Amino acid sequence: MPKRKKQQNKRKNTPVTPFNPETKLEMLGNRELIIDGCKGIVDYGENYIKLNTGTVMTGVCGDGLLIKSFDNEIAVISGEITEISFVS
Amino acid sequence: MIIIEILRYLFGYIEFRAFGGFPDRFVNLCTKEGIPLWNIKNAGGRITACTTIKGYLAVRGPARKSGMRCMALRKRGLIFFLKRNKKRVGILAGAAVSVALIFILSQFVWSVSVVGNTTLEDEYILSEFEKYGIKVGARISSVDLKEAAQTAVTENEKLSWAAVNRKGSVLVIEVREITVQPQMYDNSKPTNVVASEDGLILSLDILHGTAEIQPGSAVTAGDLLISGVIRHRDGSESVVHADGHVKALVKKKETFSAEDFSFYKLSYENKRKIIFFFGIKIPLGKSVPETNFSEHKSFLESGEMQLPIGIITQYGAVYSEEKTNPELSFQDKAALLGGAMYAKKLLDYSEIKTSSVTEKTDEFGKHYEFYAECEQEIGRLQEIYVEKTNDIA
Repeated sequence: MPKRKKQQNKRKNTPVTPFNPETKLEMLGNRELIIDGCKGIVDYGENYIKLNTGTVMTGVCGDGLLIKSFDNEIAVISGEITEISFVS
Repeated sequence: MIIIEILRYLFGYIEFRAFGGFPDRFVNLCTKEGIPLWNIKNAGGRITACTTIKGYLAVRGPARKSGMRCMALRKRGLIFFLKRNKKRVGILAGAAVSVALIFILSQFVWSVSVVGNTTLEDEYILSEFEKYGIKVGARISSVDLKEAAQTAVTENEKLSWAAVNRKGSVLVIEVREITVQPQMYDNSKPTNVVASEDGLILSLDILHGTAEIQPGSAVTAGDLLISGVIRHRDGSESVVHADGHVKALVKKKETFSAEDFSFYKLSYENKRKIIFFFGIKIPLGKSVPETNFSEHKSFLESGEMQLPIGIITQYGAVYSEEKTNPELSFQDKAALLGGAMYAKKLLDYSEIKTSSVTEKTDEFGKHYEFYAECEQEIGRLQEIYVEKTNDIA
C-alpha cells in the first residue's frame, strides 16, 4: 500500500475532535475545576464562566463560582459546579 | 497551598473591587500583563479579587482599558500590620522577643523519653544517657546523638542496641535490652530427690523418676521422695536424673529475746522544692540528708509531651537506732518480733498457713517463741554415685 493512502486511512480511523488536545480539564468532585490551556475568559457572569480553551469554548455553570487563580494558562475555578458545556 | 498563603501574608496583598465595565476583559488584560489575581468573584457585575501591592499599582491600566473602576477594600499582610502598629513599640518588642525566645529555646532539648525497654526502668536508662549529655536542657548542637548511643551500648552491659532519635526539640531514646543466656540445667548426673526437712507431704509433681511416697505421708529429713532408679519389666534397672516438686507442710519455730531487736527513730527530716527550668535547677531551701532520700518530679505537660518546666520535691531523713523499749506491751513486742522476723527474712517459705507468738520466761530472761506452719518445697537433689564398669564377655 502506498504511504499516502496509509496516512489517509489512519486519519479516517481516529475520531475527529474540535477540542484542543493540549487542553486538560481536571475535576475534584463538583467543587473544583482545573483547566490547563485556558487562553482567556470570554464571558464572566455571576453563575457562569465561559472560557477560551483553543478550538472550543468551555462553559462552566454553578453557584458561588470563584476563580481561585488564573495564571500561565491554568485557571482554577471553585464553587458548586452544576454544568460544563463545550461550544465549538 | 498553605506556604503560598503564608508568603502572600508576609509580603502583603490588597483585596479590591472592580465595577462598571467588562469583567472578563479586565481579567484577561490583567493576566496578559502578568498581574497576579486570585479569589476572583463576580457578584452582580462587580468583581472582587486579591492582588499583590505591586499588582494593585499596575491594575489601573487594564481597568481603564476595560472600562472598570477599582477600589481597594482591604489591605492585608504583615507589612500593613507593622505599618499600622509602628507607634506601638510594645507589640513589636513583644513579637521580637517571642521570636527570639522560640529561636533560642529550639536550640535546647525539651524532653527525653525512652521506648523499647522491658525490664529496665526509664529512670535508669535516662541516668545512663545523661552521662553522655542526653538530658533535658542540653544544647542540641553540642550532643552527638549517634556517638552517645554507641558509647551507651558499649559501656552498658544491659543494653544490646540503642539509638537516639530527634524530633525537633524532643529526643527519643530507643533501646533493646540484652537477652540473658539461660543457665543450662545439668541433668546428666543420676540423682534422687530427698526431703530437706521434716513435714507432711501436700503435693507431689514428678518430672522424672519413680515416686517413693504419696501425698499425706509424713517424712523426716533425708527420706527418699523421688527415686532415680527405674525398674524395667525385664527386671533390669537403670539410673536417671530424678526431678520434681514436692510441697509439704513444715513446722517452724524461732526464739527471740527482746534485747535482740532494735528499731529506728526519726531524728531529723527535711523536705525542699527545686524549680526546674530547661535543665537549670533553682533550689528553694536547705539541702536534704542523703539517707532515705526520695525525689518526686512534677512537670508541665502538653499532650503526651513532658515540658522541661516543673517542680522537683526532695525528701531526706536521718534515723537513729534504738533498742526495744521495755515499756512496750506484750502485743507490741510480739508484733515487733513478727515484723522483725519478716524483715530479716528468717522465714523463707512460699506460704505461711498459721503462725503464733508466745512469751516465755526462763533463767535467761524473757523471750518470745514464734511458731509457724508453712507450705514449703522440701525436695532436694542428692547425687547417686555410680561406678562405671566395662563388661567383658
